[in-house]
Amino acid sequence: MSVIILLVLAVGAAVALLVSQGAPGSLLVAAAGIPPAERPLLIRFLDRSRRFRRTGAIASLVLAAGAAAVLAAERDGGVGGRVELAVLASISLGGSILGSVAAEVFRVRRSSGPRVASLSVREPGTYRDLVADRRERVLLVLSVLAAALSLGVAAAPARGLALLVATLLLAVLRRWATARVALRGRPVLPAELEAADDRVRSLAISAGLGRPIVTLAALLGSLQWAGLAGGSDSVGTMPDLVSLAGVVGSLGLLGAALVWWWRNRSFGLAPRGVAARQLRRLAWLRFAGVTAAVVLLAGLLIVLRGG
Amino acid sequence: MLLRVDPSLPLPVYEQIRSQLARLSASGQLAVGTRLPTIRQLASDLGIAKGTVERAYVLLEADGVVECRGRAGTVLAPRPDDGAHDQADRRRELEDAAEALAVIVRQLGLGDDDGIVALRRALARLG
Repeated sequence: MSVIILLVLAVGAAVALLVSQGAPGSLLVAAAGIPPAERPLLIRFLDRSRRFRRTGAIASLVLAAGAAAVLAAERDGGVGGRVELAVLASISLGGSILGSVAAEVFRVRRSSGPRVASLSVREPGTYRDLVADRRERVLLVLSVLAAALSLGVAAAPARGLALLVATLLLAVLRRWATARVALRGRPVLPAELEAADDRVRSLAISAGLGRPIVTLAALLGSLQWAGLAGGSDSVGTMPDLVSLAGVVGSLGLLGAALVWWWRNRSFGLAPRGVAARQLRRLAWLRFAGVTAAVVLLAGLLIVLRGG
Repeated sequence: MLLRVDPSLPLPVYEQIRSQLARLSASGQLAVGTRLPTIRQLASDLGIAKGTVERAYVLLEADGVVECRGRAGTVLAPRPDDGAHDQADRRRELEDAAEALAVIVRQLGLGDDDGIVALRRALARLG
């Protein structure tokens, strides 16, 4: 992909991210039927997490586009340099995840006076996200399998191994961040606020960290299996089968990543009732905003290419 | 059940943790076999170093108040007489604490009512 197109796409995506402000946390929380006592804490959590996530995604997109432009300029004067779109998508999702990690992993400030703590036990298992655990196990097995197959038949096995390492690193990041969120200091709270804090931690671990990380792992897995689809360097029945498995695996994992990403939008808080209708109206407004931004940038692209 | 520490006191924080947990165990307020928070959790909640909590747990284990069961965590050990702190011991400990409070009230030049109101408020905060 030409670097000019890449730059315009990256800026367009960044503008689209800016324009597509999600539904306000208050609407989401009301739509999900959260008890009123828990709402203020949850709204603050949602607004903060989404702000960090969006900032991370925009910053990484701009950085990736800048880096691509610099690399292309060094290579061939900035014209005709090519960058993989899937890599760009991974970078933006990675930036979004880094934003989420930055939002969730923090220390609670302490005063210098007396401190009180509850003796009730809290541990990572309390907030365990079983869905993400299950998906992660499957993805790791698929990633190891793809890496093993790439050693046998792929033209560039190093790519498969690098993607396996990246998937393992994501699993380590998820575990580390989960432990940090679960064991983050908690002051002594009334029972209703304790329930809200538990809900915030569960959401941070599942929708905030776990599921986006697992979605990125699925995207990397898709790239890994795609490498098998077109990478066979010998002829015969086995490479054909591996190639077919590569196509099926790549498309399957890409589909899974897209479905997981879609289901995880708005922190998995399913809208209901009147608030759901308000959310739908906001979604249409967002869609119109994003479409306008894309049309504007397409026009800019045509002008640039014409000049 | 709550634990309170004050880093500004002359008594080391690990000793504050140790004495409170020992008291909760001896009085039966924490039952035998009760699981205590992990060192990391307690340190994080109190905003102190992990080593401080670890030191308190090590001393409690040496005194036979708790048992460290590896991955199963730290639990309260059975008391030697397998019974609660007897009533006389509890009263004596309470009298000592009340005397310390009374000394502070006098040193601050406050009246008896101020001391009693302060104690009632503190008890109300603990629930």
